[in-house]
Amino acid sequence: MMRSSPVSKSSRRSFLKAGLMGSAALSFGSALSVISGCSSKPVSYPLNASDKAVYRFLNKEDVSMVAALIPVIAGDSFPAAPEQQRSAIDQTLPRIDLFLYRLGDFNRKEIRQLFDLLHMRVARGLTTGVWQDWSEAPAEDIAAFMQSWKHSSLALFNNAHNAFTDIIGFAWYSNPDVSGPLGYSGVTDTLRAALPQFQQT
Amino acid sequence: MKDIFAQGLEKGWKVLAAHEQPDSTTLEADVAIVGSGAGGATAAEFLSKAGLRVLLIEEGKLRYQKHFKMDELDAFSSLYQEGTARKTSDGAIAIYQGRTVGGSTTVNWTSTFRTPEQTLAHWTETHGLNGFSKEQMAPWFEERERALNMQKWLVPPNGNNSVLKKGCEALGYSAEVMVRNVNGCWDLGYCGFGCPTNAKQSMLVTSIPSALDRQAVLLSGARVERFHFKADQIQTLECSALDADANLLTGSKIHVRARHFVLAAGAIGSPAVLLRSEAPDPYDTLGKRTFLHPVNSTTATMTEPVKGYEGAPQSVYSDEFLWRDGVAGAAGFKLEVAPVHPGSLAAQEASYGNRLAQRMRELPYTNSMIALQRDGFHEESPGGQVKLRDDGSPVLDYELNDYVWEGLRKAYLTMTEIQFAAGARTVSPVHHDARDYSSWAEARSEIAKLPMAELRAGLFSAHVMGGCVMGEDPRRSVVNSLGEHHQLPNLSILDGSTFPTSIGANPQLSIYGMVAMQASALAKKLT
Ligand SMILES: Cc1cc2nc3c(=O)[nH]c(=O)nc-3n(C[C@H](O)[C@H](O)[C@H](O)COP(=O)(O)OP(=O)(O)OC[C@H]3O[C@@H](n4cnc5c(N)ncnc54)[C@H](O)[C@@H]3O)c2cc1C
Ligand code: SF4
Repeated sequence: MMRSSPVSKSSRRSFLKAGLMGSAALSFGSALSVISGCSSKPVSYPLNASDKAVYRFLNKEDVSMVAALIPVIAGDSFPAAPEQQRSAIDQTLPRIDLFLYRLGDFNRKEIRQLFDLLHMRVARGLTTGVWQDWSEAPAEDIAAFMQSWKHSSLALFNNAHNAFTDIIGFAWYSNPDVSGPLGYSGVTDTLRAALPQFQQT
Repeated sequence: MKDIFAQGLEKGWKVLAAHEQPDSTTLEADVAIVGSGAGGATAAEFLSKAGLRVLLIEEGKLRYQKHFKMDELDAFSSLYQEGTARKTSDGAIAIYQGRTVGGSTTVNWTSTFRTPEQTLAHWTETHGLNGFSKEQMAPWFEERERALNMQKWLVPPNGNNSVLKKGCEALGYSAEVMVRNVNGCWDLGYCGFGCPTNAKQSMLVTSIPSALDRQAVLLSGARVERFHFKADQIQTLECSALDADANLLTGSKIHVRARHFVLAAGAIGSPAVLLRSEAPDPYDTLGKRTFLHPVNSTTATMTEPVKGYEGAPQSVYSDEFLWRDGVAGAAGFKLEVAPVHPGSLAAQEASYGNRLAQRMRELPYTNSMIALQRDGFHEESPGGQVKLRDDGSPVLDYELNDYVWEGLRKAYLTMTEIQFAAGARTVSPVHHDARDYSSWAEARSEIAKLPMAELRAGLFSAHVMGGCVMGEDPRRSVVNSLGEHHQLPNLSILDGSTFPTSIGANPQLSIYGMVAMQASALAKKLT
């Protein structure tokens, strides 16, 4: 089940402080083991002007960050062919956007704060070890910061890790194009024919 | 196939969406009910049957069969509180509650139990409740069992439930077949997404239609902010309108006048309305004693496909460990399984990359076992406390202490043993520091070493109870045994928030039966 709440209230105001303070203790870096296994070449994700209308929560910087995170979360369930990669991300971003949009006012604000923090170069570098733009960050570095957030002694980072894996993992695997090949039945042709809600346009 | 809600709308049910009402609209009723879930809808049915004009107010959107398309992401983000992101304040326990017309019953899994007699006896003896003996409650349960077609599930359990049955039988533990509230169930397994066939006898297709047939009015997309008082009387309640998706505030207000008010916004929701209203709370009991049946789980990979996403989500349970150490003894737990849908499985793993992808490739072979801890019966299990955040939204503080951790570790061990006894190839507790174990011997020694700590153990709750607890002593409770507020004579609280402890079983029938009794008494008083 979902465990996607971001940062809790007690830690909210101290996010920046904790992030900066915690950085010394959290030796991030590319020396950490590569656990994602996907290609280190990031999928660059420029946002077209026409895409913007699609999103109700994600902004341009969010899109580039989330697009960089999707392949890391998906691991080897992420397609290998470049054109399929692009379409996989195209399908997943609006799903994540819808999910975030519907989180309710409080969580939306929390996620906004977390995302905005991660868009600031210095704060991002100190909390994640990723200093370059998201679109240029190697998957290994992203995987490494996820791993250190998971094992951090600060609840703040554990919660942020859980928010990322929950939301992106959920949005990725709940897509019938991803779950169908895993054996998930979903809406079968029989059901599609039998139930009125699938006949409406 | 007939869609009872669509038909009702056609024949002229009075169903309003808040965003379509002009700003500062005032509505009037004999009784205004806040929340359309198990408690609110049952109250609406009984009060409207008595001839009272009922207004049923719901924060969530009206969604019914035509919206229920078995889509995990759409369902989870639209039908649940905080889009399934609700958690305890420390982030340690994920909390699932419905937020739609029908409340949690629209998304619940149909598992049906009467309140255990141990619980009723404990309430009578320790919390001083009147009218809650097994014998006094029996007719109310019987009536609701008939009304909601609650019957033993005769279809063979799906693969996921069979693991629990097989493992328990191998170890000599009890394993029983459940009762479910369904009528013509297609055995699909999507109860948590909104039943696509209307087979589930949730409030959406039973008590709410029954009330609407008797001139009740339903107002959806309206968040009740607070009551306004004149002396000890509630004069009006104030709602904020939400947009068509019941997501963002529109800025408009709706006011409601009524003779009597019923709060049924569920645990967390009901205390939150009273906290925002700054309602009298002379003994500081409001929001306290909120219980969760904290749940931990273990994931097994079986040798044959079990397809945990197909078939009635829950049909087998074991109470072997529920009361073993006595009602007020060490933590006890009920064993069940959870349906295994791909998004939820991915999210619960708190993992990513190749490791998660490997787990997901085993989806059809995955069994998910859960243990529900019975909280609130022991002095070291005082429950959590609902508080308000700066923006007025509620959040639950729930401390996990050694008493609970001990129960949780025992549950990790027991579930793992059962899964291996049922033939699991590997078992992994849902815990950040666990991995796949390939034998019971290995699992037993590894689980003994797992840190029982917040944000390491993956915990959730789909049964939030308490926070406005019942009792005859106002110093220890918020309402009396009839759900009447101790300080506010024209307010009743009729939902799961009044339970003085957790139930020790899935709570829906406990709410239906109790509220049927309380609402009948209220109807007599008001007519
Ligand atoms: C996924 C899931 C599965 C479950 N499975 C089972 C099961 O198989 N068997 C079982 O017995 N129980 C099950 N339950 C639990 C059971 O459904 C609930 O315990 C029960 O519905 C609670 O009833 P309630 O009236 O207290 O609250 P709810 O049914 O939750 O209703 C409360 C309603 O009030 C609304 N509300 C809250 N605040 C406001 C406000 N300020 N203004 C207006 N409206 C508001 C909410 O949106 C909600 O619709 C499950 C629950 C979940 C979430
Ligand atoms: S199993 Fe399927 S058809 Fe049956 S009640 Fe649940 S969702 Fe409805």
